[in-house]
Amino acid sequence: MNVRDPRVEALAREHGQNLLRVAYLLTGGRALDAEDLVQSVFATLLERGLDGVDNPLAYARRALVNAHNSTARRAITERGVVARLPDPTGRIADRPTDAVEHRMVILPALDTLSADERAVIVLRYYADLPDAEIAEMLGCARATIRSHAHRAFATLRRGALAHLLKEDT
Amino acid sequence: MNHDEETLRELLHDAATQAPTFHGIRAYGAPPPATPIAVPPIPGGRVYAPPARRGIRWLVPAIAASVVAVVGAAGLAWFASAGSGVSSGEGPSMAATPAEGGVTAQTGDPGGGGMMSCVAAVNYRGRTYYGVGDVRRFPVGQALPEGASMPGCNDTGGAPEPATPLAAQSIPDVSPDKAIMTEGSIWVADLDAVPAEIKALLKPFVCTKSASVSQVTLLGSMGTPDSSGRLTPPYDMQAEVSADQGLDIGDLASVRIDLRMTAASQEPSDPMALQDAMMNQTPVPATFTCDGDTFVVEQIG
Repeated sequence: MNVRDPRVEALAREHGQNLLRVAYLLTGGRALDAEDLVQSVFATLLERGLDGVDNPLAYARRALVNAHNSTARRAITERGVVARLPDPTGRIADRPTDAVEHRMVILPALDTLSADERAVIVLRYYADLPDAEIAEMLGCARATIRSHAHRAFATLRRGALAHLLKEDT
Repeated sequence: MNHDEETLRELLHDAATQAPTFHGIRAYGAPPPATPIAVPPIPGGRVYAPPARRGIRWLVPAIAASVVAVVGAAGLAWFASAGSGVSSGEGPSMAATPAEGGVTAQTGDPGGGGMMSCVAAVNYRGRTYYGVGDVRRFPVGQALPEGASMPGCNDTGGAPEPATPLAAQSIPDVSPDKAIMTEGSIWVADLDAVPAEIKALLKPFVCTKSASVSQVTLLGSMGTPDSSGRLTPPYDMQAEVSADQGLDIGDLASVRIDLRMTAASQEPSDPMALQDAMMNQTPVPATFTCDGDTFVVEQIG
């Protein structure tokens, strides 16, 4: 049984929703996967605590990205099963209404990217993190982050977001 | 932030509002996750080891092209002439960083923070070189003396990042004064006077005859997966093929090509294997045929 940890609880209270939104984007809009991802991170944080961690949010975010990337293959093979489960929000992803059609186009588009590219796009343009922090999270060079971003844009421009992204590189 | 970056940012923020509501930690009393989560070590070390990369041949041209994507050629030209600082917002200014061997690398963040790409440029022997974009044909280069470097970015307000040394190569039939190659990427000294030899390397490599390729690296897809995550033909993929893999690419070291997947294309028995290969950039065998100029996959994986 996990022991209650006030610091982890505070982290969850203050940033749980934000972490879940990041996870939601990382998983391409799969609500159940996103919730599992975030809950797994909190479970692990409870197990090992936050002693010695100066920035719990950055630490949790990093754990989230690590978890997403390290389980990306498993997730993609299980996706067929998960996707057929009822969406707790009651939405039907395949048939978005006109009101949400525009915004929901980004979620399947994220699926056309590699795990690292997706993480870079989400962390850069949703979480607004600097490349240096993203590079540290992903364990790669700063230049690699720029490369991932460019590659992701190229893929999105030529594919799922061709009607929205127009600038050539 | 340019138009595309702003659009993407808006799409992500809109989509994020559709995320479920966080109802707190559910783990109390629950067993640990079956698959251990790789939390970062304390303090600050790295646990996550990214999959093995194919070197950085693909990396630098992407960076180069991203420069154009972010600031545009005009911005680059301005940057070249100004040499220091872009007074956009409160972001730190660009700076020229001396490096050994007379090579300097310039970098900076036009907007500050993580919302902007760092501008990248490489100086070599007193010249500044800029990326030319989407290179499709990679020639075999000759090593140049050491000294080229990828600039660090100084957009976090902390200590300036050091430049990253790169191995520069000359491009066949092009003076190093006009263009250089770094691990397969191409940088030119004057974006307004790109040599014809360099422009030829941007030209798409088209299909002229059927081929069976032992290793093709899938770089990305241009299709939209369905709700289960599957890509359903027809869709296109971008791939890289090196010399001696079964595709006649002449004297080139490698090419990037577009592959068309059709309903008749034979995929691996594991329906997710292709996307897995794409995600991990694991080379796979493939057989192509031509439909006009287009590479059409007969069998892959």
